[in-house]
Amino acid sequence: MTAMVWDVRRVEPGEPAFELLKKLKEDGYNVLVDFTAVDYSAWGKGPKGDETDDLKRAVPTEAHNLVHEIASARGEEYGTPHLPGKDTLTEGLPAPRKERFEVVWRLMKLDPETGDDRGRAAVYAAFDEEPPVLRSAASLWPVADWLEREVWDMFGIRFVDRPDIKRLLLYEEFKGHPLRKDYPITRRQPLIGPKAGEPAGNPSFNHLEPTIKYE
Amino acid sequence: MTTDREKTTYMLNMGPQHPAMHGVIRLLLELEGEKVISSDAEIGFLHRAFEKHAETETWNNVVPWTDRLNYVSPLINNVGYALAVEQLAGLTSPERGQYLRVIACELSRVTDHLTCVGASAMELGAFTVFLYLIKAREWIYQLVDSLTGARITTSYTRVGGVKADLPPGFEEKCLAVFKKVREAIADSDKLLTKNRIFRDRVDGTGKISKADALAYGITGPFLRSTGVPYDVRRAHPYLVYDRLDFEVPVGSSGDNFDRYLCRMAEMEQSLRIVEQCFKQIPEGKHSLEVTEMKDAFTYQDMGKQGQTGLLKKYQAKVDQTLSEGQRGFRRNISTTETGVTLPSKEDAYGSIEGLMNHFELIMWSWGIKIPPGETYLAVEGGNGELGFHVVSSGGDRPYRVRCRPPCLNPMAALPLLLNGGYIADIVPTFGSVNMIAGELDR
Repeated sequence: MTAMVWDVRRVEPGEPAFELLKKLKEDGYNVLVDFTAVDYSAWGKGPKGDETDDLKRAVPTEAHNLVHEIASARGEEYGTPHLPGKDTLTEGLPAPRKERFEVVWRLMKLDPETGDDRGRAAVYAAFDEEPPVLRSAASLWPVADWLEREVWDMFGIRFVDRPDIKRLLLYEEFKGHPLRKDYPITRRQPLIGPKAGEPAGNPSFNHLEPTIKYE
Repeated sequence: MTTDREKTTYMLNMGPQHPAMHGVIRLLLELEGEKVISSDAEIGFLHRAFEKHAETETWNNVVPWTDRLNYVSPLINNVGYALAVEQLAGLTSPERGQYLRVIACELSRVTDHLTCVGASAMELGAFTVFLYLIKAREWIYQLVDSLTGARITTSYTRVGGVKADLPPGFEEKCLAVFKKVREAIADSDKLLTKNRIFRDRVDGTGKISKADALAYGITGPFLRSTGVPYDVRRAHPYLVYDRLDFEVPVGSSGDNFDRYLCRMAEMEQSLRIVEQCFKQIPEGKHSLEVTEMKDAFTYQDMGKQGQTGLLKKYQAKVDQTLSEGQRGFRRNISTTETGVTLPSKEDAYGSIEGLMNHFELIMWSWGIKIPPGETYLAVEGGNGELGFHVVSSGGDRPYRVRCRPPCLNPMAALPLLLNGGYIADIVPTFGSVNMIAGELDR
């Protein structure tokens, strides 16, 4: 079994990733295999869904505050006394990261004649939420259009030259970006749809401008 | 006035619940008469938050979710995910397990292509072909059922191996079914390949150039139909594909007919691969063994209690100062790198150690620990390169799982395929894209 070998490039914070991508495209990386992001805000804070997180999540806010007050009056930190060895839960975990998000473009040099993969590159860029730093790569590889829409949809990462970017998988009325680590999996979304008395209309229908000319 | 009327275009909304649509997807078409001027696809109707759910499940519990990605070839998803996690953990499953995975993958690839060809033929009016091919698919599903216990929701792989070995008499059953499947494919070939009605619909429609296919990152039969012989099994042989002899069929023009031919030829190659696997498959274990390190005193106690069967299974961890042995119970319960597979059912139900081992592995936040890091691994799915980008923070569950759905790329390129054609061309083109909403929307 042979693993894929990746030429790993890291874009330093503050440097534009687009220039590097453009250079790689000129070097012959003709296929954008994948573009995705990771939210590192919970990195190094213990495995997701461990006891601490779930205790906090299970208790409603007011009750949580009350318990917290009682605990702090006793000089304890809420949650910790019940847990066996809190330090062991985070033992061996990686150090937290400075930047919140990291995106990765995975590129491939595909020979159209022989079908050989002549090399793969992975370009990583880490950055914080504000201000938006990424430029769209759709001018280099057109499929980046949809992949960027998905990254916006799931992570809320914006692109400087795509101000009116549209969600890919979720609907326009969806609140929040679900793959962010601070989006709880149990969150409910408001119901959408026509209310009584209002005409039924779907805003996403009209984004392809109709050219009907009524006479 | 009349010239204006002739030139006007109108909008048509096709889907998301349309009988000629393979999955739930909505096409917005701008038409002039029956001609498609521009088009746009809206996806996401089957979004089930696979990637979000995967972050809340333990490593092995994600496997059933992967069944639901490409639900006509679920075994390939199982294998792709398990391989990605194993690559991150630095594990290699035993050779027999690798052959079993190849067999599972190739059976799934045949069902995938049978569904695609059969359903698109039906949409073009060839209902007999649909019956032939779906019947053949059902025979293979029965094989998959006897192998995994389920027809579609297979959940066959585990981190470190597979769920079970081949059932008795599987090879004979398989070879008998292959004979019937080959007949069904040959019959369908006779009914379709030279059929005037079929050819009129698929020849030259949904055409894409080599350059466009590469620009959109299209892989799989779709790319091969344009003449690029890229196949992950050939370019990056995973499992034991480098020991198997198979061809990569390619087309030339990149239209619907070439895609149909590619899929028909690939089914034969997949059947050949399975037959070779039966000849090559070695005896042995199908999954990694539990080789957990036990502290020396535990080892001693086991011996005193007469549990000599377990003595062979575990290695003693001897520490003179006993400092490791005293240091919290958690460390020795967490399994080491190779201790990721569940004990056998007999052990789990028949001995307290087996039960404990099983319990430790599946208990909340105590199970398998994968070292921190990230990896990307691709397998050749039914529709192309199926990639899994897995990130671990060292916990008992994934930090992030990203699935690269191979049918997203041709879907993104759909306007290229549809614009300039007619409404009737949408049906064969969309059929040959083989969009699987479960995989596209995740």
